[in-house]
Order: sequence, then C-alpha cells, then structure tokens
Amino acid sequence: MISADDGTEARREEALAMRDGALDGARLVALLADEDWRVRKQAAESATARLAEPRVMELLLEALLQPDDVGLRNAAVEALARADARDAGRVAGALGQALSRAEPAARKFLAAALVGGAESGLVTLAELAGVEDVMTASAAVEALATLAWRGVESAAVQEVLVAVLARPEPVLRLAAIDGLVACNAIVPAAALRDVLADPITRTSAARLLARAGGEEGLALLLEMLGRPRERADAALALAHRSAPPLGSEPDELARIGEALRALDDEAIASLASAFRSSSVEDGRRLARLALEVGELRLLPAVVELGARAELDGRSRTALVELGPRTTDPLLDIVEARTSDEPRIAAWALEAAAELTALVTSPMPSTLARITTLARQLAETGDDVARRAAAAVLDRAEPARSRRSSRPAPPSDELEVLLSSDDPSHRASALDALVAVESTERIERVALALTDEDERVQLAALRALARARSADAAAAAVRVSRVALGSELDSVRAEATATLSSLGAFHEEPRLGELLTLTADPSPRVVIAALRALELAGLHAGEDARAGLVDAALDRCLEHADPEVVKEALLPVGHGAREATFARACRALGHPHWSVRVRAAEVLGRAPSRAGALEALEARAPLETDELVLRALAAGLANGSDRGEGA
Amino acid sequence: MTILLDGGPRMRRDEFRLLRDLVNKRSGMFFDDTSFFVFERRLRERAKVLEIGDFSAYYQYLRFHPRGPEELEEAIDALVTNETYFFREEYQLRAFSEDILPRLHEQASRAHRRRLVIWSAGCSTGEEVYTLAILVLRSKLFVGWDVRVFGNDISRRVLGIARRGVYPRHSFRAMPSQYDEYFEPDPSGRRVIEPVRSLCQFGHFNLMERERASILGRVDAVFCRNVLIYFDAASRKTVIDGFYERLQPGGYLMLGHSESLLHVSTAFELAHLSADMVYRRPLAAVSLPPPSGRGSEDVR
Repeated sequence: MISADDGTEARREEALAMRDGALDGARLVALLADEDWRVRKQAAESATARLAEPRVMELLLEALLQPDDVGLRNAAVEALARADARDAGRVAGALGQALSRAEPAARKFLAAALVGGAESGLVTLAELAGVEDVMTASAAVEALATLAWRGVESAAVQEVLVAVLARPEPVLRLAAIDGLVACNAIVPAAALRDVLADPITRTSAARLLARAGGEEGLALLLEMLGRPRERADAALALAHRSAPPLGSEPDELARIGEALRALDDEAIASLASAFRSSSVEDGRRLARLALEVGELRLLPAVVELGARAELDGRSRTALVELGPRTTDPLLDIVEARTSDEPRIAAWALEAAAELTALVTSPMPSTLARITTLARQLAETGDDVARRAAAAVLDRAEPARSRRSSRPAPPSDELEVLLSSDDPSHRASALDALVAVESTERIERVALALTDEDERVQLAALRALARARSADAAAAAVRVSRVALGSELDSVRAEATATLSSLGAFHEEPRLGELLTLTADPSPRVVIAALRALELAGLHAGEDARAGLVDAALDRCLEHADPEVVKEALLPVGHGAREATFARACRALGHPHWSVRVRAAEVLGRAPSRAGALEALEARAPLETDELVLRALAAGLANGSDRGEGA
Repeated sequence: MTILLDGGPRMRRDEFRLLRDLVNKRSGMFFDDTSFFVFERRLRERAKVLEIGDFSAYYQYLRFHPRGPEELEEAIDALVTNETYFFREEYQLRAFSEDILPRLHEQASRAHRRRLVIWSAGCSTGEEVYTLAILVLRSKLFVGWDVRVFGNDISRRVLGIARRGVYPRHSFRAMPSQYDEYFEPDPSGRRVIEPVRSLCQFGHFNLMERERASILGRVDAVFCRNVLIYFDAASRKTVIDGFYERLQPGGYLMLGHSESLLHVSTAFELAHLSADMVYRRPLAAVSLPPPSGRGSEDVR
C-alpha cells in the first residue's frame, strides 16, 4: 500500500506523467534515483517510453555508468533493457559506443542492458564476452544466454558461447555451459573435453555432453564411467541422454548396460549414492536408465525412489519388463529393510507381489516367501507398511487358492487384520471377503458392526451382503437390522442396501420397516430405501400394500432434497400403477432442473403411459433450461417414433 | 475447601445437574452430589480445550453442536476412572480358569457346540480382554474351537489403546511371571502376542444399548467388574437384564468383588465354585421383556 505520508504517491504520479510532455532531465534522474522502488520503477518505465529521444538515452547512459548510486544505476539498466524492437538498435548502438569509456565495474551493467537489444546487441555482447574483466564477461555471457533462450540468433550466440568454453576461468565456463544448456545447444564433444576434466565444470559439462549425441559423446561418457570421480556425472549424463526427447538407440543402451556391468560392486554402490544425492528428476532418470539396461545391483536405490513416489511411469514399465528375475532381488530388499525402513520394504513387497501376479503359474516358494514377508511387515509399527502388507496378503490369497484343490480354511489373515489397531486394515479385511459362507464367519463380521470406526462398520455391512448360504444370510439379516438403528446415516443407508441385497424386504414383516426408512430424516437413507423398494418390486404390485407404498412415494416426491425426488421418480416411473405414474408428470414443474430432467427421462421412456406425452408437450414451451429441453425433446421424439400422441 | 490452581470456569450447581443428567441419559452412568468437584475439575479441562468460557456454554455445546456427541464421549471418558491392569482380582480369575472354563467346555461339548465367547463388558484399555484370552489359551481346553473374547467400551480413546495391545509397566504389576510368554518387547512397554490378539475383538457401544449388544449373539461368560458402580439403579437393572439376554443358559456372570445383584435382578442363580461364588443364568431360562418393543430374537 502506498503511503501518502511521505509523498511517495505524488512522486509516482509525477514519474508517470513523465511518459510524455516536456522533459525535465534533472527531475527524471532524481525520480530514477528515488528512495522508493515504486517511484524508481515508474520512472524507468517512463524513460523506456522515451528512448527515441537522444537526451533521454544520454541521461540513462550517464546513470548507468556512474559508480555511486546503485538504485539509479539499476533503474537505468531496467529502462534500457526493456527497449522494444523499435528502439533496440539505437540502444545497442549507444551502449556499444559507451563501452570504450565505461569503467570495468560498469561494463557488466552495459551487458545486462544489452539483453533488450536483441540481435542488435549481439556484436557488443560478443565483444564484452571476450574482455579481460571476468565479471563483465560473465554478465555478457549471461545476457547472450538469455538472448539464445529467447530464440534470438541461436547459432551466432552458441558460437560465441562455445568459444567462451576455451577460457580458463571456471565462472565463465559455467556461465557459458548454462547458456548452452538453456538454448538446447548441441556442442561437439571435442569442445567439452577440457571442461570435463575440471571438477568445477564437469557436472554441467557432462549434461551438455549428453546432448552431443553421436559416438564421440557416448564414448567419452562411457570412459568417464570407469573413473571414480567422474562416474556419477557420467551416469547422470547418460541418464539424460537416454531419456526422452533424445532417447537412445537400443545398441547404445546395450553398451551402457555392458559398461555398468563391468563395474565392480563398490563402483555400483557409489552410483547408488548418486541416486540419493540427486534431484528428484535426476534420480528418476538414473532409475530409468538402471532398469532399462537391467542393472539389478542398482535395484535398492530404485526401490528407495519408488518408496518416495519418485519413479515415473516409464521406469515402472521397465521394471515390469524385467519380469520375474527382479522378484527375488526385491524380496531380498524386503527382508533387509523391514526392521529399519519398513516403507521401503513395503514398496519392494508390493512390486514383487505385482510382478508375481503377472505370472500364470508363480513358484510356490515365491508365493510363500511373499506371504511370510508380508506377515512380518504387518507386524511393524509403521501404518503405511502395515497397510501395504495387508493389501499384499489379500491379493496373495487368490493365488494360493488357485493352487489349492481344497477349499481355503477360515483365514488366519482375517483374524490378524481384524485385530489390527488400524481401522483401514480392519475395513480392508472385511472388504476382502469374497463371500461369507458360514454363520461363524457371519459372527466375526457382525462384531465389526460395533467397531468405533465408521469405515469398519460399513465394510462389515458390505461383507454381510455377501452372505451365501441360507443360514448365513438369515444371520446376516438379523444383525443388519440392528444396524438400522445406528446414529450414523451412512450406516443406516448401508444396512438398508445390505438388507435389500439379501432379499429381506421381500418378506411381509419387513415392508413396514422399509416404509419407515423412506421417512428417515437423512436423505441418504431415504434414497437407499427407495432403491430397496424398487428392487423388491413393491412399486409395481396391485395388492393391499400398494396404498402404503404410494403414500410413501408421494411423500418422497415432495421431499426438500432434489436427490430424493429424483430417486423416487424411478419407481414411480417404472411402476405398474397408472395413478402412481401420473405423479411423475407433476415433477416436470419441479424448481430444480435436475429433477425436471429426470422426470422428462422417466416420462419419455414410457410415452404411451397416461398423460406422459401430453405432460412433455405442455412443459416444452415453458422450459428454459437447456438440459431439460434436451430431455423433453428426446422424450417427445421417442413418443413420435412409436407413433404415440397426436 | 478446595483451592483451585488456575482460573478456569467455575461450575454452578444447576450446571452440574444439567451436565450430570446429560451424562446419565447418554450413558446410564450416574454421579451423585459428591461428584461435583470431580465434574468441575475434569470438565474444566474439556472446556479449556474447546476454549469455552463457562459450563452453561459447554452444556449447550454438548447438546447442540454437531460435534456434541463426540465431545460427550470425551467428557464421559474424562469423568470415569479407567484404571485396569492385567490379572486384576486374580482370585476370581483363578476360579474362572480352574472351575468355570472346564464347566463351559463340558456344557458346550454336550450341546455339540465348539464355540466359546466371553464378553468383557466395559473393557477400558483391554487388559482384562487379553487376560481372559490368555487364560483360555493356557487351559488348552478349546484347541480348534471358535473362540472369541470380546470387549466393549464407550470411550474410543481406551478402545484405541486396547487395539494397539501395547502396555506400560504398571499394567503388569499384578501379573504372575508365568504369563510373560504371552508378551513381547515393544519400545513403549510390552505388546500382546499375535495368537492372543487374534482371539480378541473390540466394539464401541454403551452397555445400555441392548439392541447393539445383541450383535454379539449368545455368550458363555460375561465379565463386568467395577463398571456398574457408575450406574444408577435403573440403568444397572437395564444392563444386567441385557447380560441375561446375552448369556447362554448356564452361562456365567462375573462382577467386581464389591458388587452384587441384590435389588437388581432375581433372574440369576448363585453358582458355588471351589473358591468363589458367581452368578449364572439358569439352565432353564427365565423370560425377560424385550427391549424397545422389538421381538426377543437374538442373532443366535
């Protein structure tokens, strides 16, 4: 917020006014040197707008070249660097001329100001890149890199930057390399040999070499792999080289793989360290390279990345393509890391399990090992690891079942997981139950209905819905009815769905319960009850219950929640009773558009029913909502296809 | 006179009554007038957590805030002393192990039923549940049977501790060393081993909720020790009637050493054991009125 107290706003306004009108040079300079950055910024913008005026250019150059006032100088740099195409040539020319009278300390600012000059400033910048003063040359190199990045005369810029690589000063070489990387330059390997030898510039140069392509670049990098101090940089460069968009030829990958396999374990361990100390992107690329060439000694480092969710899709694909030969090494990692680093062990376990699942006939010993290790992991104190172990154990069960000719006994894993202190494990255990055959199992599941965690209760209800034998189903119905009294509407709704799928509502005594549920305070429960009602066919009969059902449907059609109304329209629309069906027509006038869409759809599917077509036709001219109009049109079209209506 | 150490809200008598009645309605637990200072001190901490300045506002919160029911649970948890430990009241557990388990084994076997369910009602942090499971395992009478030891409590906090199965040293102060093999070291103390844990399940409900308790089905024994002291007479009767419903004919009810069913229920009979007397549901069952107008059917 600009303070009005010290006159800042007034000075800023004054600087703004300097964009045109009579020039007060001294005042412009004073504003460029103002103590407040906002005033300086505005003054610089105004000066840029007037660069065509020689006097302004002169003032800016003087400001640029004076050594005392930093703020003034920077404001001048900013004003000049913003020169547009119209003024760029003039700026570059002026700056070039000023070069000869500039103090060494000021030259770097000239270089910075030349960025705005585009190709006009190239010559001057090239000259400045060759001066003895390192700071000036460095500023010029950075300015050139900026130009190249902007796509300005890339070839000429790159030529200058490559020439800078021959300078002895590391800071210049680094600036030149960064510039060449920034403009995606392809640098001949020969030009990089010296820079590769220097530890200060090696890492950046290796990146550049990755782009070099060709045999010479590859040979140089493979050579570097064999030298301990250069190995990590070479590996990183190779990783970048082989990654998209460049990609590597298959035989190139083979050669890289061969070079890595020729390294001893100690050398590989040092490369693994490079994984850990790299940036996320670099680590990712190293992992991809390791997997694509099949260097399994680097698998632990890859797994560490995986556990941190830093592996990309291509790496995961490469891991899958390596196939079962990675399973045992992954399980070795699980074994080694379970105690101290359970999350890493968990990732390795899940990867091994997934790879095993892809195999048609996995080795029994592998399955057994996976299960044993999963159980060990399930005992750790780490929630993530325990969850992963639980998931693996769940998946391992079907594989074991395929191999066993006898029905599986009550699962030990179920007991373990139901006694877990992690509610997600308890819920997962219940969700993993494919079917519930026995009353003993029903009892186990039923106890989970008293769990303090809502997720577990819901999972228990879902499991109860999978009761298969008549006895189990009867027991499931009895306990699910208790859940109808839950305080949680999610549980009541799920219990309704469970009872519905168990066929409980087909029996007479349950109808009263179901109709009571259609009056539940929670819309969620009402919706579940309406679905159950339709599933039980109660909307369609003509018996004595019809009146009670209609009354319940009427109530739901008047519900405040549009979702309930929409749900009620389905049994109303599908029902056999004409009087009930007629109620759907009224819903075409509902305030909520989605209800009107549903009503139009319901009526449109049965245009021959009493009043349906007429209702659709009557509504169409009154409707303004696009989606509703579409549904009305579809319904009317359906009616005319069938030859209905007038 | 109690000297208060901080300047937290003071509870008025009418506020105490309102809060006490709310707790009673929700849990069946009753606190007489002598509990006033306990209420004030312990609920002041809850009010502070919620940054509520007085107990009237706290009451309103409990009644009407969306998180009110959860907070009421926390309040009850704060009011109730949950102290328990492994092998508490060992003489009774010895009777259970030496007399009752063999009788239950015999009763079930005669009925061709290889199932044993024990209910620790108001299990708090779970030591009793695991204790009972250890005794069942150690008896070796129920190998290959469907065995379940179930514990319930109204407090999620203590259930969380029970599920973790890790206990500090003071939980083991009364445990004979012969049971050490059922525990393994843990950085936080000792952890119940898996074969014991897998027999145990925990649930969250109030003992007054007989409907919810029906999910347990029939049980062979109920342990409800030093829990009924918190209930008023009417609630105590409701809870005991609920135990009766749950018990198999011939099933046993174990109360705390200072508790009895005098003036509470005449449905149970006294069973004389070698070193103790306990309550038992008669083999010829007596009917009780059903709860909430529903039928008297059970899960099993």
